[in-house]
Amino acid sequence: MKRRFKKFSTLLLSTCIIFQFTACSSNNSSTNVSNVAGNTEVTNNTEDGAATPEEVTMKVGYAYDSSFVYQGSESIDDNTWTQLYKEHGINLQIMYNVELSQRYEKQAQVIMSGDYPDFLTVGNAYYKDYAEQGVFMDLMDYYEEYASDLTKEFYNTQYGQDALASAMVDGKLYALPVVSSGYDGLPVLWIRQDWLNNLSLQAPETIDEFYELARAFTEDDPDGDGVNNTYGLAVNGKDVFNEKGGINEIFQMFGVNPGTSGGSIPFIESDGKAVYGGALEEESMEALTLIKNMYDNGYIAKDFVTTGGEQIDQNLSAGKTGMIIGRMWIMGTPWDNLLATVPEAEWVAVSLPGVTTDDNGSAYYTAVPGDYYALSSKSENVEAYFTIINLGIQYLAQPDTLSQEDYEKYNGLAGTYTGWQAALCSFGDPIKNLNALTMHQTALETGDTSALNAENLRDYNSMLDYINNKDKRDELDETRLAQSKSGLFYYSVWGAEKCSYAAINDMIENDNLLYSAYEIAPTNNMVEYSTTLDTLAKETIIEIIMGNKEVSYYSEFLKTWNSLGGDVITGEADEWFQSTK
Amino acid sequence: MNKKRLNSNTLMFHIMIWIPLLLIIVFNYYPMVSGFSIAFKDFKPGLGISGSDWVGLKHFRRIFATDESMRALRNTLIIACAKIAANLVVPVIIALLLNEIKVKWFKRTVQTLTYLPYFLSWVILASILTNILSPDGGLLNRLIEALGGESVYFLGSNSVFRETLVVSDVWKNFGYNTIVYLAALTGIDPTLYEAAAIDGAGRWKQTLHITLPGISMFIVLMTILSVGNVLNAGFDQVFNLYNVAVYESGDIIDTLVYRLGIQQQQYSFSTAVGLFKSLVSLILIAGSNYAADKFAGYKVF
Repeated sequence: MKRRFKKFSTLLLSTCIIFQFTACSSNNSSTNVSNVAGNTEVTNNTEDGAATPEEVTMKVGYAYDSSFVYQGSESIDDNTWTQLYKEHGINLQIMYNVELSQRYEKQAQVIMSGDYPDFLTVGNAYYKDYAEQGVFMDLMDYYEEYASDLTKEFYNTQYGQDALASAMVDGKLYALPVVSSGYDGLPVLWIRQDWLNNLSLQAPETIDEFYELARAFTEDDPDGDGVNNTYGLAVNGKDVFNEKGGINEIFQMFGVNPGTSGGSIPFIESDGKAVYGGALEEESMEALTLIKNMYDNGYIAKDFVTTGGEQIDQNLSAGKTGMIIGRMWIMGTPWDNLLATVPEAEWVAVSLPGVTTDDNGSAYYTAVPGDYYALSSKSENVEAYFTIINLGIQYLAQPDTLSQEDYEKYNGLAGTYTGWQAALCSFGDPIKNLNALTMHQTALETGDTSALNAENLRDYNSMLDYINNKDKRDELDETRLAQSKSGLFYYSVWGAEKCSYAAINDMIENDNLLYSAYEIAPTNNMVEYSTTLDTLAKETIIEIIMGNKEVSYYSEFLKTWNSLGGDVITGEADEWFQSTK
Repeated sequence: MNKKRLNSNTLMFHIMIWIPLLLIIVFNYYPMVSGFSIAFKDFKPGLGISGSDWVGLKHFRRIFATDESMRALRNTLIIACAKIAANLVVPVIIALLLNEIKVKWFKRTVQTLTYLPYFLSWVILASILTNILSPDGGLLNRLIEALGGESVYFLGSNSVFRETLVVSDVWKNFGYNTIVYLAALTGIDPTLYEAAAIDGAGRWKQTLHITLPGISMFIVLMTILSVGNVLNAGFDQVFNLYNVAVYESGDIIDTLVYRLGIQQQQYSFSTAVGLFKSLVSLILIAGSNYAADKFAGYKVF
C-alpha cells in the first residue's frame, strides 16, 4: 500500500512538472484571422471608404502613461478609433501594452525576438539604427500610390518637408514622421499668482529679479499660514534633463542648453559653427552659480536630487513651491489638485527671464520629429499602413473639415471619448496651438464663437465649464468634474490672460529662441556616444550644484566631454549645419 | 523480491531528477551558449545574434578603459564586503543575545518583529526610506537636529550613501539570518554547558568556548555562500535608492549594466560586463571554498 502510494505520487509529481511547462502558451489570445490581402485586386481605400475592403490584421503594440485612462465606456479593444479602423477593413491585433517609460525597451525586445508589430512608433534616437538593420519597409515606391491627397498636402508644407528629410536614410524613406513646429516644446516660467499678490510682487523679467523672487517665496511666507514650509523653485534633480522642472531649462535663461529630456545631445550655434549646447563656458558657469546659490540658500528643495517628475507633481499639488520652469502643458493636473485645498490658487506663465530686460532668456527650439511611424519589413499590408496614416491625417489634422460631433469622437471629449490618444498615430497642424491662442483669447473676450473650428470649440466649451463652475466644484458629478479639469488645463494653456501659450507667443514675437543647430535624425556616432556624454553632463551638473566640486570644474568637464567622443559628434553636427547655410 | 523493489524505486528517483535536470539544461545552459556570444559581437536587435558583427575583445577592453566600469567594480566590492561582514556579525550577536532570554513571549515577539522587514520589497522600502531619510523634515534628520546635530543627506551624499545602504540592508535581513543562527544554537549539546559550568566557566567564557565553536560550521557555510554572492551587492536595493548624485559611491556593476544595457540599449557592452562579473564571482567562490577547506576543514563543493 505504502509502496504503491509512493509510486503513484512520484508519477503524479513528475507529470505535473511536465504539464506546467506546456501550459505556458503565448498570451495572444486574440482570434482575429488575417485574410491576407497581398495580391493585386485590393480595393483602393479612399477617403469616402469605397466598396467593402478586404480584411487585414495589423499587429500593434501600445505604450501608455500610468495616468492615462480610457474615457467613457471605451477600452483598448473598443473605442472610436478601433471602430474606424474596422470600417476600413483593418483589425488590430494587440501584441503588448506597456507603461510609457518602457516603450523603447519593449520595442527593442520584440525586434530582437523577430516577432514585432506591423505598425511601429519609433523614437528618433533609434530610428536610423533600426532602418539600417532592415527592420522597416522602404515606403518610397508606395507613397505615390497609397498616400491620400490630404496626406500628400500635409507633407508638402515646409514643416512637413523638413520632417520628411529627417526620415530619409540612404536615400530611402523608411517611415512617415510626426510633424511638429517645436513651439509646443518651449519652456515657460510658471508662477503662483496668488503668492505674488500676497507679497505684492511682480513677475520677474530679469534673472536677478527671478533670484529675488525665489528668495521671497522661500523666506517671506507667501502662503500666509505662518509656517516656513515653502520654497521658491521646483527642480527635478532625479531626471536632471526633463520637461518638468528640468535643470536644462534653467540653463536656457542664460542662452545655453546642456541636455534634452530624450537623452539626445543638443547643438546650438556659436560663431557660425554648431557646438554642444553646454559648450559656452561662461554662460554655463553663470547658470551653475545661480542654481548653486539657490540650493545653498534653500530656495530649491534640499532633497531635489531624489525628486522626480511624480514627486514634483505632488509638491505642486500640495502648494509647496512657487515657481517651476517647464512646458506649457504641465499645469493641468497639479493645479486641479491644488484647488481642492487652496481654492484661490492661480498659476500664470511668463517668458523665461534673461540677463537684462532686453536680453531675455532663450528657449531651446527644435523641430526634429520625436516619433516616426514605420511599417515592419516583414508585413505585407502596405496599403493598410497607408490607410492608418491617411485616417490619422484626415481626422486629426483637419479640424476645419469635421463636424463638431466627428471632431469630438475622434479627437476626444473628456468623460466620453478618448480621442487621439487611442489612435495609432498622432498628427496635427504644426502651428494649430499657436493659432488657437488668438482664437480663444478673442472668443473669451467677445463671447463670439463663430470663428472657432471644431477643436477650438471643444476646448472653449471646456474652458467655460471650468470658469462657470469654479465655485461649485463639490456639486459636480464625475463627467462634469472631468470636463472642468480639462477645462482648467485648456485655461492654463490658452484661456488665462497670462496663459502659457501667451508666454510662448511673447518669446516667438521677440525671437527669444535658442535654435537647435542640428535638425535631422542622430548619426550612428551620436547614438553611441550620447548615453555616456549625457550621464557625464548630468553627474557633473549635480556635483557642482551640491557643492562637491567647484564651479570651475566645468571646464574640466568640457575637456572630458570632448575626449569621450564629443568632438567627433560636434564635427558631424557642424557638417550638417554648414551644409544648410 | 528485493531486486524488484530496488528497480522500481530507482526508476522513480531517476524520473524525478532527470526531468528538472533536462529543464535546467534547456533553459539555463543552452541560452548561455548563444547569450555569451553577444559580448563578443556588436549586437543590433534588428540583425539578431547571428547577424551581428564579431568584434572580439573590444567591449572587454572598454571595461578597463572607462571610469564607469572600474568605479562600479570598486563600489560593488566595497559595498558587498561591508554587507557580508555586517550581515554576519549582527545576526550572530543578536542570536546569542536572544538565546540568553528566558522569557519565551518576549523572545518570540522580538523574533517576529525583526523578521517582518525581510518580507517588504525594496520598492516599498525605498519610498519609505526616501521619506524618513529626507534632509528636509525627514524623521531621522529631525531627531538628529533635536539632539543638536546637523541634518545629513543620507540618500544624496557620497560620504554616507554606502553606509546607508549597508545599514538598511542589515536592518531588513538580520531577522532572517538570526533565525538560522538560533536554530544552529539549539543544536549544541546542553550537557557541554553543564560541564563547563561545573568547571567554573561564566556565561561569557561559555559563549566563547562552546557556543561559537559550536556554530562555527554554520558561520563558515553562510560566509562561503555569501562570498559567492559578493559581486551581487543587492541590485534591487541600490537601484531603488540611488540617483545621479550618488553614482560615484553607489553605482554597482548591476545598476551600470541595467542602465547601459536595458535603458540605453548597449547590449553588447553590458553583456561583457555581466560576463566579467560572473568570471570574478567564479574565482571568488572557488577561492573561498579552497580557503574554507584549508582553514576550517569544511567544503561546500
